Amino acid sequence: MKIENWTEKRKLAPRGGVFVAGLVDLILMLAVFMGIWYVFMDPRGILRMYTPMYGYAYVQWFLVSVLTVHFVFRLCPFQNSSFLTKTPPLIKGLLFSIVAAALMLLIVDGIFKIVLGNLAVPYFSEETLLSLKQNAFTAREYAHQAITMYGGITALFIPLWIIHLNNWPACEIHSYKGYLTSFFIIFALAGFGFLILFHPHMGVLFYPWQTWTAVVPWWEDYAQTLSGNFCLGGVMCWTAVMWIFNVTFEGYPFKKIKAQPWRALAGIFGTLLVAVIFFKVFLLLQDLVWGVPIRGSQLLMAVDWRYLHSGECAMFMLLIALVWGFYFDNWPRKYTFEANVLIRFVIICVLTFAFYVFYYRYNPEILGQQAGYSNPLQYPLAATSLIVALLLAHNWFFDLTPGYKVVNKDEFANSSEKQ
Amino acid sequence: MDDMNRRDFIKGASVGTLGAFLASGGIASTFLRDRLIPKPAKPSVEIGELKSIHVKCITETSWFDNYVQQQDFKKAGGALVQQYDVKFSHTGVKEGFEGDNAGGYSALIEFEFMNGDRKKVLLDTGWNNKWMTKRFEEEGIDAMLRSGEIDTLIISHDHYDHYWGIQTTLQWKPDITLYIPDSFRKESYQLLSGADFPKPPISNTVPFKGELKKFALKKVHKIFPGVSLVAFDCPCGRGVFGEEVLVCNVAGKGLVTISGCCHMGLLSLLNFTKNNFIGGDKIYGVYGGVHISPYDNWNPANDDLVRSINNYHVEKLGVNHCTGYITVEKMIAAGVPVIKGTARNKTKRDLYLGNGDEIFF
Repeated sequence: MKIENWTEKRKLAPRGGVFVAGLVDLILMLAVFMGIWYVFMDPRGILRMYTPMYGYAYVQWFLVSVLTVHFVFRLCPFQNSSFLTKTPPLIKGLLFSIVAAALMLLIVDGIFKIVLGNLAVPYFSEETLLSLKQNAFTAREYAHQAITMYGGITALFIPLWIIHLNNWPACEIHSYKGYLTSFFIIFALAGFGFLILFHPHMGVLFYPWQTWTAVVPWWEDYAQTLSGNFCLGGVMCWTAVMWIFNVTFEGYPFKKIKAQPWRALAGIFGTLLVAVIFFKVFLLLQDLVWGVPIRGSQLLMAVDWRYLHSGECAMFMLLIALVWGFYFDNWPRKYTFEANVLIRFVIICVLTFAFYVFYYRYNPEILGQQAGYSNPLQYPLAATSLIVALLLAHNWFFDLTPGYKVVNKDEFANSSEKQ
Repeated sequence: MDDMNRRDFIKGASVGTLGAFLASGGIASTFLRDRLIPKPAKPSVEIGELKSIHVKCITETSWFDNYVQQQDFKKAGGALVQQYDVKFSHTGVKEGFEGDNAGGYSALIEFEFMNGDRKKVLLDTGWNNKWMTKRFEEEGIDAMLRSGEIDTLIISHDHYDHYWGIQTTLQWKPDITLYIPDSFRKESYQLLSGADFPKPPISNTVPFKGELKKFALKKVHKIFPGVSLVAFDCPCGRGVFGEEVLVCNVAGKGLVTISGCCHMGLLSLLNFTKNNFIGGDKIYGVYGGVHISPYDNWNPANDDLVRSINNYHVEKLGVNHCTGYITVEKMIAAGVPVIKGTARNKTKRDLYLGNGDEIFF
């Protein structure tokens, strides 16, 4: 029997209560995160890929790959019910994680660096930029910045496409043909978004400006900066809002609309509007704490950094919302829906603030990053994106083991026997 | 829950859109922001005046080959690796000094006070002791240190290219008075006492014997008449945090800033000066590195700076070092009054003040 939507059909039960299970899972996931961070990213660690953009590009695409393996490909070609129910979660999770990592390498090193970087757009390849006399540091950072930005917008478009457009056309073609078509549609749409939102930034990243191949950033007059951080912050806020609606608010209110295209229109534009509000609230909060930014300033007072930091704040919130939703089963659930959602949202806001304070107090010791809120050479997005990727993988690939276990395996076994 | 019908949907969507639009507009509205965001206080820092300032660039070439320096950081694991954990290239560098890529940043500053007295101080002490010794001897700094004519060394921040050449100064005056931001790394204190770090490698064989004055971050410290040190709590990269900048008030001309790298950002410095110092509405001059494109790297946000700097009406910009040639080319194109140099003593181009060049405020 083929199971296309395993994570919707499985039923998870905590071992020893929701909070104990949640804490066990959280500690385990963070331990795995720390191990991966130390080996691959930490500037004091082994491979030291967090330069920052070099490592961040791989993290961003690992996140996209996890989304792709679960959301777009629906775990294809491993949809067999006996495999999904009988394979130990650890083995199954490792297999899916390896597939996601392989996809990440294929996209970053294959599609971007080799294909696009050599045949289409030089700034996608460090080697091509080096051959064009860009210096060692900027070649690496620029190339991976472009790859990361493409990944950022893909990570937005995948859930947009899946949640609000039901992964069309894979929803009608239930095979790898449908999944691949969906993937290429999303990838192409992300490219379209990248061209509008980030390509102008890349155009003015070089000296002299490449105004023959990219327009001068169209947002300059409104945003008071030429930097693409304006768009990046917005994309991050939109991504976070979409997930918060989907996890914390359990898909409501958009879930109530069944008919397309109304559901898609409401979901896409509704989350966009709320994202704009989030974006502005985060900007206002920063203005209250640090004062109004000044165009051309650096660090805390830089206009472009404030936009970026709004996105970073949104990612902190997304991370907490996912932790609460996945590990602590979106507690509470016993009151009315509205009360549950309100309490959850307040909890997420409070925990986000606590995590924000903790992160900026201890990240130099824990992650090996520089002290201070604003630093042009580092982004909390890399660490938060890696945690989000691991959270999603833990839930979708590892069935939240060991804190939780699947309790309805027999249903699939029975239906398989009947067939 | 039941499916929504089209009318309900349109009704809900309209209300939602209107509500979101109003909420978003309300949050962004000038009305709300004006009431929530505190107004900046009136400038209140009074530092007095001095008659003039003369700055001589001893060396602004912190390294001689950008590519080699960047490769060093790349091999070490990128720009976030802390500086004592980086192996730098000291041999075989074609553009380097005797094959060494390390140079350094240092400036001699002479203050002329209102009563006619003069005082000479050093800002930073560079990196490569051989290069620094050569430059100090060429500009007569060695004799000034020996005679006590220079009795104060101000370290803007403990980055390798501003501080690791401490032995050069101490070899002629180990009892010099040293001004540092109180955010020094522990390794930097060890170096001052005579430690040896084999990885970069860097060492100091002349332990410091003078008075050490540490300046708290986030404060303005008046050090001489008309002269203050402002210690900013800014990240500087490579594991270094905090930088102090001189802000001086030249009679009849206006305020002058003198920086090592200006990691807090040039416009942040100018705004701080404008908003806090009495007389801040007239910023006459700027000297030093202003950290924009040290490796001739770029970021579109830097264009924001180039497009905004003229709003501050600074009359003399003696920028160099980590400002970067690309930035200066863009500044000149934008009509910013950057003072040109003479391109000698291993400074490559005459676009800005280089090694041995001078500026008067």
